[in-house]
Amino acid sequence: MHNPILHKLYQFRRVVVLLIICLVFAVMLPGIFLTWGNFRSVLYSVSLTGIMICGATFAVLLGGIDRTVSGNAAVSGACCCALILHFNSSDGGAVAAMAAGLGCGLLSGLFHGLVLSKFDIPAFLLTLATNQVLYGIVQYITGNQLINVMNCRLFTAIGSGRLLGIPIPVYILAACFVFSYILMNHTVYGRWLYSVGGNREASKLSGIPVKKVICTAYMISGFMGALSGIVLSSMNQQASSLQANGYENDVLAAIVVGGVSLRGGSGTLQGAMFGALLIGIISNGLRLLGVDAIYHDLVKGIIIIAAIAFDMYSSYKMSGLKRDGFFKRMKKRRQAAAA
Amino acid sequence: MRKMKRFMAAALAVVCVMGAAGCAAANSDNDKKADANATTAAEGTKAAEEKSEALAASSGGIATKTSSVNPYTDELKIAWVPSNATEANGTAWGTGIGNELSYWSNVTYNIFDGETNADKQIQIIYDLIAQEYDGIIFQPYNSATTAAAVADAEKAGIPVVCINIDAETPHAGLVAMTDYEAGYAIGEEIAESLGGSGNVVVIQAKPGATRGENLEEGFQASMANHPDIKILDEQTAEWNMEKANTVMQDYLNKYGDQIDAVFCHNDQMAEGAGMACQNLDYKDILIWGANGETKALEYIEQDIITGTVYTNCYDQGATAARLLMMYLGSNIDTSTFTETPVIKMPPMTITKENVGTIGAEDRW
Repeated sequence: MHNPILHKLYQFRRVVVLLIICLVFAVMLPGIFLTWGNFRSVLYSVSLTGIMICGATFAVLLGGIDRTVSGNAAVSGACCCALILHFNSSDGGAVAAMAAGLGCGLLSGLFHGLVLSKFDIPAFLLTLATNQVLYGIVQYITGNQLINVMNCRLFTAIGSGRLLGIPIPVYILAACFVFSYILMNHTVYGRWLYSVGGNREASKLSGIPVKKVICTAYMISGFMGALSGIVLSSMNQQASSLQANGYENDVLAAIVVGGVSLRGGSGTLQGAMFGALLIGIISNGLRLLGVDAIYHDLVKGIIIIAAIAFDMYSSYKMSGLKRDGFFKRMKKRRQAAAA
Repeated sequence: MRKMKRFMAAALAVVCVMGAAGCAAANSDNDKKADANATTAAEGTKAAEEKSEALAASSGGIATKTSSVNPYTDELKIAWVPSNATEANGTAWGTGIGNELSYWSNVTYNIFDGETNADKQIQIIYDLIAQEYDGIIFQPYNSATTAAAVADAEKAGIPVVCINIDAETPHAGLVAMTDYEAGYAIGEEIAESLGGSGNVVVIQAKPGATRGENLEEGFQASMANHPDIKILDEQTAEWNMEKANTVMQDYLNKYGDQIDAVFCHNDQMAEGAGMACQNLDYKDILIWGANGETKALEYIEQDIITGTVYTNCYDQGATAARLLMMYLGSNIDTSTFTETPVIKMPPMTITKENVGTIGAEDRW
């Protein structure tokens, strides 16, 4: 494809998809959808999954998967809330509690990284199992009760506070995105990450410290999961034993929709974030349109399939490959059979 | 207050059980509203007596079983199978059951978490039948799909008392929160506060959830009495606090100052809606939830939400346990029931004026 305009459009194809969807909703919801308040609301709603995505994408780029993002969030939130109460909701106590929560995420990530780099266990199975262990730990910490934290201003400000009219979780998401983006795209570690994800054996033979790369990736994923757990607990002003349960599916869906290959080595953080925004914007638009909840999944699914199809088709066109259409292939097959 | 409620609930339990125990002819076509009103523990003792007399008259006697256990001496195994043991209500019911059963030193009490999965609950019920448990207290995740397992437990001689959600088969009993009445009461409270006219939005339960549907039905019935109150929008937040926060933000973006009141199908969602209103500086909107969990009561005290319909889940669990123990000690054959006896827990409408009446020991 040599047309420079089409080439530019291809580079920004995901933005184009989002803009088309926004345009449709804007036409259907004049004066409601395209407002600063609604844009803020969408960003706020995707901030939690967005933070998780910033970490989990590292694991997926390695060809692995981290299903413990929700478990890490739950453990971190529960640990943090329990400790804040232990420290009588003081601000100093809250800082220590949040550090402890983040530490839990790092530890969990380190464990996964060590096990996955040492043993040939599928990441899906390991993280599926450890996610259950993490929720078991949360049940132990909470005693299956809600831990309410309403009197610690520093803590509650993280989830509910605003700076220049923008919710704090959106700033946290932006910081996580910038951190992960730079790490993936502008550091040696980022190149190692893609290399190990593409071919682990070749990377090892090339002298890349594969184990360190894997451990670091899962530690970042654990840290981001824990951070999102603290934000979630702060938003809700409580921790519960089921906190964030099911978020891992939303995160993985967004990453896959965003074009990150589950085989590893290919995909971008921007793509994964596109997936999260796509799902968030569609949900928001459907709610504003007053569409009955029973149709949400159906409509969302159709729009996501259409978006992925557009993404793949434009990638195919950009590749310059030529392929016969369905009927032409059938005809050729029949001719070959006849011959 | 707690003692009084316990007494009333126990009295009603006995009345309902005696009334429905042997009914051979089904008292079909139960009008939900009339039935629910008739069996509300707070005011329904007399009505329940009348109902039990009618049922007894139609039954021609109580079916009995040949063998019964002695609840004071025999070793008994009782299981609590909640829809989800880790949710606030599930934990509170479990605590109530455990406290009640702790009076019997011969009773072994075990909790089996259904993990919000009907298939898992069915598996657990069949395991309990195989292990010859003496009684089951059960909160079905789904009324229809768990019905066959409940019926099989009853056939095996194991009485099953359900909490909050009924299995769609006759069994030993149901101890439920009021839902239709709660929705109706909230509708009336909102109408009174708005002076009979205004705009309301609803944040609904997960689609298909029985409790959510009944709350909604009651609320709609109340709204029908107030034609000048308009329901602007209804969206689900799937019982979830952070989703309710997002849904409320969307409502505020769309309708802004037009919204006068919000009705949420549970307290968690009311809390999420309350947080959204606080964050976006809409502090005059009336926000109502249902259940009465601790945090909602604290939010009412802090003026973040307006009110809730409170149910004492500790008492509800204890009532279910008492009912089950009574069956175990009697010779009533619950497997012959053609209608499930229902006990409705007394609801309390809680606002800032009376939230102080709920003591710390009754907050769950």
